[in-house]
Amino acid sequence: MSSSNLANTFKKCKQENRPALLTYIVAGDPNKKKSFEILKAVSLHADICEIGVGHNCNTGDGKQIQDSTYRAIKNGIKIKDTFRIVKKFKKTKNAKPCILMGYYNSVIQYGENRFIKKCKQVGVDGLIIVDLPWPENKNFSKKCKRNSINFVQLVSPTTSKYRLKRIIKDSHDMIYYISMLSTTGGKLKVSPKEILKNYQKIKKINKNKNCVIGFGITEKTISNLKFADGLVVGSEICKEISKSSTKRQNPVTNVSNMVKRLKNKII
Amino acid sequence: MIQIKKEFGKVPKKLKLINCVGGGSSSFGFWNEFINYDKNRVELIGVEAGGPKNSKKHAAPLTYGSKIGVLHGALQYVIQNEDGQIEETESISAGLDYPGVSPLHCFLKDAKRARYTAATDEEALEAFKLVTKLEKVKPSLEPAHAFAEAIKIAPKLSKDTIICVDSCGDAKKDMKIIKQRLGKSL
Repeated sequence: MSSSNLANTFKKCKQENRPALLTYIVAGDPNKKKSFEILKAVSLHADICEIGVGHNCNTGDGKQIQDSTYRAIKNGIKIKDTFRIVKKFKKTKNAKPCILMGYYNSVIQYGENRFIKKCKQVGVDGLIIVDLPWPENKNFSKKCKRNSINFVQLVSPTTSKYRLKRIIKDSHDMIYYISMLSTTGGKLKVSPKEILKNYQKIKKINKNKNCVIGFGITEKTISNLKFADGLVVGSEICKEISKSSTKRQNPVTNVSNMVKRLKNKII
Repeated sequence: MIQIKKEFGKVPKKLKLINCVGGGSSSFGFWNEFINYDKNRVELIGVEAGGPKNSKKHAAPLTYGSKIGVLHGALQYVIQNEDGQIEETESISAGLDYPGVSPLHCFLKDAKRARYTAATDEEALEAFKLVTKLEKVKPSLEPAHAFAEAIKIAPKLSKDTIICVDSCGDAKKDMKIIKQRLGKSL
């Protein structure tokens, strides 16, 4: 899969000697129309767009992403709308590779095969299914691979060496390293040095896999982690959307400015 | 099992073990030693929370045929909408107020080893009233659901059928709500 959009993006960023910037927003937040506009604006600065398939029992998420998720669901987002948003986004001029991030029940209810087929149809490049860990994800990730969709494996500070080796072996173009034991949006309570140490463990097993770091990454912390292949910012963006809504400001401009600032910190 | 043998000398020919089911853990303790008996001899009955009488909300995924999904990391029957969003539940009993149910219960339902039904909030309260009037136990609102089922089926059963209800909690924790609903303190 060396020619996947994701792999090419990482390659390009490496040539520019910087990590890829991955942004996360929940589809339909604050509403369907605005979330598409946010996505479009963000993609001017971001390298890869993660799009959340909101689930109301999002066990991996902290307050900020939960707020975004509940707002999106309240404003009527359905899976079919999320696919519609991705399809429309991928047709825009500055579209970036898209990763759908969500929970397994959304996939099951849509139907595994139907879900993958639809992803392919609308141009989804990768999938992160938070509550489908290795080895339970073996079948599903194989199906994704057969359909040229990257299944992104998650590893964390407590992943054993035994599991790490096997997970990396079964991974596709991208691996997601969870920086700390926390839900999303927690304060980064581990030092960049500690993260680097674990990051190197992963790279030592296979240096060709693109490893991104997520959880606890904000405007404050991002520049300390520039060594990574990619960095994911989610909760801080979701928080900005919430803040904009409360202050009756335009979330599109605010989020876009934030992502621009984030990008400047890792160039 | 020890208590049953002490009381009856052996496992009775017709025995019904009734337990409330929320997540389902207490019923496993109650049923475990009897699970290999023929279901015609030892019937296992799980009682879920049917919610308020006139509400569409409930916490009874097995009784009301909810679809299979993943909640909290486990594949199970779970109350959800067509998009896979988990639905809100409602029950007078906090311990039963859960949209899913242990995969083991899902298996016992599919294998037809256990039978599942539901009692409404009102039926549980009525059962609580009757049980506390006649017996020296004060069940919490969770086992009150199980007692409701026992009261419902008892008149239809033969004289030699033994019913055992697991009174798996004490009403002390529900004092506030019982007082509110029945207007009396314990």
